Amino acid sequence: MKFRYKVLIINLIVISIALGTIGYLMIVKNFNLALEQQIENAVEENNLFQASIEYELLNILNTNSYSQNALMDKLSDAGENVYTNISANDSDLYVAYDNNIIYSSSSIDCDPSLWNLVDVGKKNYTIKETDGSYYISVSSCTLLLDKRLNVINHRDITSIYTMMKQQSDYYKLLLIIVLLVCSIFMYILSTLLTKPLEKLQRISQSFGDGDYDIRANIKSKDEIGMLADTYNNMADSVVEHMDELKDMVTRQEQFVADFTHELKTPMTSIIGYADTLRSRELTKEQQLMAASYIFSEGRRLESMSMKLFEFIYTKQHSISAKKLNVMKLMEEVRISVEPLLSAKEISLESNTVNCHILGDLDLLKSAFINLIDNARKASPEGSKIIFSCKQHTAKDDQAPQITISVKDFGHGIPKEHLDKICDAVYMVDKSRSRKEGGAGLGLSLSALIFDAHGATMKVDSVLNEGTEFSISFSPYSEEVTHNA
Amino acid sequence: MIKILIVEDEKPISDLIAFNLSANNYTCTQAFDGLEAANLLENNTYDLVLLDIMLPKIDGYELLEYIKPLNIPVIFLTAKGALEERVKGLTQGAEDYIVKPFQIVELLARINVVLRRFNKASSILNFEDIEVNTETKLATKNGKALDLTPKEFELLTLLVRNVNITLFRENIYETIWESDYYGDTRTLDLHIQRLRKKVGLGTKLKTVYKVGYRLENSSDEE
Repeated sequence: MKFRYKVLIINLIVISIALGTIGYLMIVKNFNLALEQQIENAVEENNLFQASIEYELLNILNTNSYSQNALMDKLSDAGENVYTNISANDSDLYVAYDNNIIYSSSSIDCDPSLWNLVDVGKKNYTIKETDGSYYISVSSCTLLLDKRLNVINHRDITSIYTMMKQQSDYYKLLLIIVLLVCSIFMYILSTLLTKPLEKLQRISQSFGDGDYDIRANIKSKDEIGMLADTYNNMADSVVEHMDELKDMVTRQEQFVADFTHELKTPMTSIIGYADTLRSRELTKEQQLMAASYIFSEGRRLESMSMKLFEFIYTKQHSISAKKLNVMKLMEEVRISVEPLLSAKEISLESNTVNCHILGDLDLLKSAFINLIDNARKASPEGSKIIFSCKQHTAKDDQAPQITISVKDFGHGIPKEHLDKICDAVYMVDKSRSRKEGGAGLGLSLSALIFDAHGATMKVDSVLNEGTEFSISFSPYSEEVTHNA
Repeated sequence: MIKILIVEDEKPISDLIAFNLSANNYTCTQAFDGLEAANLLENNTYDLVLLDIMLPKIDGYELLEYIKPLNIPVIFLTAKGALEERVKGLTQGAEDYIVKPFQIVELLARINVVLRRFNKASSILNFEDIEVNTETKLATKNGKALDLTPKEFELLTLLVRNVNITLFRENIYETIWESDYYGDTRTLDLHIQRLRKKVGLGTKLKTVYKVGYRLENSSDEE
């Protein structure tokens, strides 16, 4: 069921219960007041009748010469007199003595219970319904010569019942009209209120169907407006994530394509030389040349596959971090790269600080070796590479940091390539890198390792002047160990 | 002598091609980047250029634009098997392309086809007293026509074109029958036997045990 119908129905139920209860109570109260008035009137009338009859009877009783029959007659006359003189038109009068009706102003019989049940000196009233008419009867009882004298008046009070019925009929009519007007009004109101919701629903539908640019344009300040804002934020972040994923897939596809391409180069040489070796009669020198090419290209394939393996491994595994002396790390890196550098007569200037970080020695070592190897490839012969460490103490808003940097004086990285250098297999100058034995995996691997250590990598490069990679770590502290 | 310019930045591959082409009596010049190639092209004439697409300084496509007016046929060497790359190369005016990694036999065959198309290679091949005309599809021995089936003719052409080179069964099979080799060589062996008999090659067509066949000169050239 639609929300607006729910609102409508619930409101209608509440309003009808409220109005119905109020109306019912009002009508009942009105009726009771009217009835009390009628009863009071009837009792007053009865008092009047009784007093008048007793007054009429005084004459007889004072004479002391009355017979039973004369008393009866007198009583009957008194009733007649009183009725004709005093009574209003709508009342009847009955007089009973010693449980017998003496006088009756109406042809209607009077119920004997009216005079039988009344205690002496008291008054009783009953309300009875006969053929759709309501009557009130008030009965009083006194003792006359030790016998019961009852004066009963009988009034028609149908009018108040009729009035009550009219009132309730009128009220029902009013109620229906009011409810009808209310429901129209509320339907319009709830439609207006739920309209933004429906709009939001339609927008979500379109979004779900693939229209990722659609956004809710609901300006209200209420919960629906807030919901729309939240929805828009959600849509934005979904789109952002989707783009990221798409981007990642594209990169991975690109990686596979690039890597396959890189594999083909050494494979062409290996297959070609092997084919030549087996097909031709070759001189000893030619055989040696072919074999050494097969060997070197095979080594290149191996190093590529190792790097690929490391790359995938690092991507999938978390590091095992331990307290690590930066001096020791840098020394080990230096020892590993020294032979590589001396081949190109590049000197390594290293200055280190005795401090500690949290990290995996082997991974960090290979990451820095990668960086220095990259620097080597970029450097001309006889150049130098600066491998240094700086410790920054905590400042106002900055946490203390340990920055290890690798600076070369090679050909630099063009600006347009700077943000892409961490992509797997990305090479700024493809053919030169390959000549140096690169597979383009090195930097992305290093970046991945630093990232896993929570370190940040910064690259500064000036074309033809050199490149500096700065990696900032948080210093080792006891707290970090607990967190890790 | 046919002069071929090899433009390839990977030294091992460049050497490989140069070595094999030289062995087939082509004169080779090697260039390792686009600029070097352009300079060489400016000062020398070549009959064919083997061109790598990804080159330092000037890439293969750019260089192709430079070569086109010189009317020198170009065969692309590409590591990318992607269709669009091949189509791009061909529509830009390359005569053919070879996808790395390639087989030497295939490279030689393609070079020969392109050279013939440009009338730079003779369509007549000779082996001692045997003459094979690849254009008229006619083979003669001492001037007398040999009665060969089309497959036998192709087989003979392949052998004569690759004198002193061991041809592997799978290579021969894949080249002549143009389908994958699944180890069944009886068809091939049968054709070889009949060719020996019909052409009278005798021991000159050597069986390399378990490997393939090789057509040898009576006196080894190398």
